[in-house]
Amino acid sequence: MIRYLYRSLPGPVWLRLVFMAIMLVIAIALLVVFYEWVGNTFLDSGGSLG
Amino acid sequence: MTVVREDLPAIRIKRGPETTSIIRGIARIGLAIGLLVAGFIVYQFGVTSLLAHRGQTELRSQLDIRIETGASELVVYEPLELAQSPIAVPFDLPAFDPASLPGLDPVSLESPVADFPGEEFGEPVIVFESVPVAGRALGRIVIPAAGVDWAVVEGVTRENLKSGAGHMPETALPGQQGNAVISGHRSTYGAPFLHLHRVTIGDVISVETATGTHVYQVVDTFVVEPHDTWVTDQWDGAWLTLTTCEPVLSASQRLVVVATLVAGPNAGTILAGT
Repeated sequence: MIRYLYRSLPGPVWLRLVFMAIMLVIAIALLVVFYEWVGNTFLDSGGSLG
Repeated sequence: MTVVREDLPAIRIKRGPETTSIIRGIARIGLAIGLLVAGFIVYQFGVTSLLAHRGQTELRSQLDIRIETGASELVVYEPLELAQSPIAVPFDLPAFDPASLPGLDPVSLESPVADFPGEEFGEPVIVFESVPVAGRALGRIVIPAAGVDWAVVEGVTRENLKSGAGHMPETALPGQQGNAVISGHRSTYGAPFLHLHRVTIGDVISVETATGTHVYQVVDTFVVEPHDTWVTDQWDGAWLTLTTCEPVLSASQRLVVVATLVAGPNAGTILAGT
């Protein structure tokens, strides 16, 4: 899928690599937000009340 | 032992291109889910723990500065009109033994009134400190029975609790009149209150702040629902309430530990007034 995504990007190699790096950062950020939400909701909310 | 029959033609299972792509697709989805779960485990129990320990280093240096700069003052003691605590102190609560807190400096338990020899205070006084800004260090909590030694941050938001146990705003500060509430993670972010279930009645908890070291003794432990906010109410006397998730690896309920002030710079004055 990553290879397919890379090939479908327009422009020269360096521009494709920049696009891929940006998408990687966004994907990791979204993953961390998702992990945080799941962890706080189901695993450990920090013990506060209310 | 395998017997090869040469008279029989070799049978080969032929898979069509569709079957192959379906199997490949399932394998890829399984791999993706596996990586997602592995990433979740590494993040929750590895990355968050590192973040918490980094936060602790920062909080401890903030606390040192707060204590050194003497962010406290003597004020006239004025008893507050508070409700009676629903938690009863056991009549057979053992007397506090300073030896139960290793490394305790006895001087930190004394009232700063002793720093003014010969001076007469007409009214009872207590040592008081201002509430730190949310996210900044308030104190340090030590519970020998639960292996707890963590810096306490002001606030209980998600961000605040990432660096340690947090003091709930609008509740009393440790060592003051009322009910000081401190919450902490049980499974993630370094799990400051992982072993809080080991605490039993009579165990000691010390909270060091800019006003000195305040020692509490546990009087009750129980489990409540997350919406049972009555445990954070303000009660007559000086109390400490610790809350964390119950059971481990679940946010479904709360484990609560309630303790009462037995020693510290303000203990004599506050307890005499109740």
